[in-house]
Amino acid sequence: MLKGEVEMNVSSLVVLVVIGIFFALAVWRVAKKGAPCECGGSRKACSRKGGCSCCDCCED
Amino acid sequence: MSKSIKIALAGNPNSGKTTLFNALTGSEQYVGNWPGVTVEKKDGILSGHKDVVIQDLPGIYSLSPYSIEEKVSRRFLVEEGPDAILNIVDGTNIERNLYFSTQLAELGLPMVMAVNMMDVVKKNGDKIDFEKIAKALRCEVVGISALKNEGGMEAAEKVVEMAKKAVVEKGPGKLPDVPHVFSGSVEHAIAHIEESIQGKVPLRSIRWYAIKVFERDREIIKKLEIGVGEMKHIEEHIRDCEKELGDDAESIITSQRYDFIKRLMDKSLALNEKRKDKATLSDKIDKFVTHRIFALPIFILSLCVMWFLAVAEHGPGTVLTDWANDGFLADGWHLPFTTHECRAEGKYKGMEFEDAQGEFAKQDASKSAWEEAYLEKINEGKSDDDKVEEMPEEIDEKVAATIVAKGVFVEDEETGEPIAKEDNEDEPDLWDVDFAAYKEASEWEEPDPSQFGVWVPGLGALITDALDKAGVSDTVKSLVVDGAWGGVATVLGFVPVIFIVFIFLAFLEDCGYMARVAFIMDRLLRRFGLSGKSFIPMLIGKGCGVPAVMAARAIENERARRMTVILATFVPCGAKTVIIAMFAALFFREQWYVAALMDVIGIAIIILGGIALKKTRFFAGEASSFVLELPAYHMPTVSGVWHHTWNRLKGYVLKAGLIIFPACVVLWFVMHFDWSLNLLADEEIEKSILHDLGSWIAWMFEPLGFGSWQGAAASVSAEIAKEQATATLGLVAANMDGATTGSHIQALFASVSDFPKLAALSFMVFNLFVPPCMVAIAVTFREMGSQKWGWFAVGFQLFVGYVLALSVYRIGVLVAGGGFGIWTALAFALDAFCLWAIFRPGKKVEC
Amino acid sequence: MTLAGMKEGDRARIVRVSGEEAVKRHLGALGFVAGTIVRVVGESYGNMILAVHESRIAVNDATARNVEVADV
Repeated sequence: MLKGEVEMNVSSLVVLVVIGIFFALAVWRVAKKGAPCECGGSRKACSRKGGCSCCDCCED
Repeated sequence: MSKSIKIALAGNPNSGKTTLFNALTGSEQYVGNWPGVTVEKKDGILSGHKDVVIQDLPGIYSLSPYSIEEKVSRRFLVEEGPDAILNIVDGTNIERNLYFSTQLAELGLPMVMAVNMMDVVKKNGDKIDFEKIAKALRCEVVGISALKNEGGMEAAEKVVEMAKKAVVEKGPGKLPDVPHVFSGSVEHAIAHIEESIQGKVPLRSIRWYAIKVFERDREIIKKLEIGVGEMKHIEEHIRDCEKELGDDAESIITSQRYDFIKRLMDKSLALNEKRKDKATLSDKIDKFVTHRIFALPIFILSLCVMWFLAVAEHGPGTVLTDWANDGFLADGWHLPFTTHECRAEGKYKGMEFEDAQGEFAKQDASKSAWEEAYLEKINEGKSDDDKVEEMPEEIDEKVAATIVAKGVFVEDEETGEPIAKEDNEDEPDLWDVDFAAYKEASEWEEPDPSQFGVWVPGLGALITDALDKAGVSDTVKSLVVDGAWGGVATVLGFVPVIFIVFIFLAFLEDCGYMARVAFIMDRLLRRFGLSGKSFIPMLIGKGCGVPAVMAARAIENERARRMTVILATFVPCGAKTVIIAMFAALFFREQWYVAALMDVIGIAIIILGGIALKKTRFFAGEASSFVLELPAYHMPTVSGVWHHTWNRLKGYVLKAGLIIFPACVVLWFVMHFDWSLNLLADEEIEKSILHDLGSWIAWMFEPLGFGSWQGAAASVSAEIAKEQATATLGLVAANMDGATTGSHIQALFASVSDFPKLAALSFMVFNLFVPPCMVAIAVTFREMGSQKWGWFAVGFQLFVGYVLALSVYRIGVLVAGGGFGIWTALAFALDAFCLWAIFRPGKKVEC
Repeated sequence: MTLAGMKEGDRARIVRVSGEEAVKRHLGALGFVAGTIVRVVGESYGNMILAVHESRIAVNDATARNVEVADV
């Protein structure tokens, strides 16, 4: 599927995999817990099911 | 006792509750001085008592069922039922605070009243008799100073003791000792109601419930399922009281509470006579701060101070950001106070690092200039295929001797003509380079920074070196260094600027000034038919737009609430501040006030936008009431300000890792691959997916001055997170001319417009004032409650951002002598429309 | 007479609070009840800062007009 010149060796592959893992972790965490926010709100304290997304905490 | 003890921490806003909570639980929370903050449920473990949970309730004045904060607190106190209550009371404002205390006492739970700020009470010369209050309210009363960390822990431990005793001895079924606050006929009515509701509620709180029924609290009446006949009977009692006392039930209760408190205070509070009716220090400060003429300028001045510190050329913000962007995150930096002249043998001996760099730049420029001239000479007369691109191994001495090139520092990007290096120089710096000079120049190598002081390699350099050592391929290296790291580093490099902004705002909030700002803005907004209650969300918006939009919930009036949701995000949030920071650093170093201007424009849009909206039939209406407590000014604590700031900063840094990083990886891929998924070389970027996507929409940005695929891509990517615009710019500008990311971006804007500073300003304005990030847009839709209004909000914001950027650019170009064109005409036309919308006669506002 | 129209330094005794239920309630909780003495700390364009007990409450002109007062 991938055409063109890409020099592939072990180290490159390792780096690609590492980036891939971090990428997946980030996506997973945002999907699960929502985007982090800068409002200073504490999402830990939210009692809503599924937690809060970006300061979106604790509604009625 | 395996179950943990639950203690409710309740009190008025500004009573020092959060300070006490932090002291008792050691957790990190933040202190806000004004209402409208999104409600949170905060709890923590009492230090040293693993089985005790302190539940911090929102600061409220009463337990009525009307605001979200009150509802949340009521639910916890009445339904969940803590084991005891720790009621914190502001000792310098004790009468008003006791209003809430009487209600808490009626719940029948074990209670300790912690009278806070005793240090100030003593200083004022006032005296409070705790015993008398304790007797009257049937609870324990102690004095504390949360700020000075005195007495708080003891109060908490006392409450825990009481709670443990209560759990063992009593339980919800025993009639406790509660204060009887009301007068004869009211007490009579309450007794009747208590009879009627017996068995439906826990015995200890029966009095509280009865009083609520007397007040006709609908929620409670519904919950208790009082029969229609019963209710009629009770109504009779209530109406008798109302007739007798000449007021409605709720007002009677409120009044009588205060009567009770007054009688109690007469016995137990001795105010220092000398202070009576004298203006306090806070009053004196407020004379200036809320002055009819000086108030607004003082506020704008404080914003200017903030921005000056954050982005002015030699200010702390810029110094640190430059260090971060050019040193710490990139190539490296010298530890301060360790720089010295080069001591190693060689060309640089005796020179300071900066001079060495300058000298090397000159020699390098000489070398390139001569080589270019040489190649040109030997390529003369050759056909294109035969032309030599690079310097051959062997140099033809005869030809070489004839070459004298002009060494120059800077060339104009388009024409290749030499231009002056500094703006203030008239003539470009030119010198002759002959063969001998060339040979000399070729011997100069880049100065080794470690010879000039203690050199700390930057993270960028470290990563690049590590990848090189591991033999990683160039492509993957580019993904890591240019893509992932490059993007994240761009955003993180501006942390110093937003740190300064956040700290400044935290300081203003914690000292009490922000409440005054809300009051001042109300006065200002009111003259245009708007309400200041709308302004509080906007102050919140300075941190993040999401809680700002949600804070609009506090506004009861539906139209005002809608309008607030639409306008709340025009005040630049933290992420937008990054954009401001970057553009201030790249384009407006000497004009730091451009940054402050963005805040002012935001406020102006809110006011003018509000006026225009109010004139439409959807938003016209009477101005509502405005009531706000102004807490006494106090010096913010270092830990308070720090916690406030740190929480925000943490969110920002986390965002860089969780959102910016993946976004940049994706961007790198769409920049380096074409539609058939061929890997592209750097110069082939124009064949990339991103280039095509950007070009498809670039025409929309043409009138704004940055109609290139890069500008388009950056603006669209900003919807993921506003700061992504800076990261994207960093990535897409990568193969423009320039040594650093910064100069790449400057070169980018220079390539798309003849007026790069205006184009940059336009780009900044556009991204600051169009709809905010997708999360904020989602919240907007939710708070509006209807698709129609959601789209209206988004459309309005898009319109404002676009027109503003268009006007800034086109009128700016006109003023700069760039001529009048069709887009200029469009700008004027749209501006005229806006002015009409603002200034046309509106519906008369009933006062 | 109402709070509106009082000047800086004036003192008055609250007689009655009228207006929207929600506002009345809020004012009540803050101490605006019959018999309470308030003092005007600052005033401009009809908006005022009032000293109620030991606290400072800011209200706008519309709200001030809803608070009936008498001389102290």
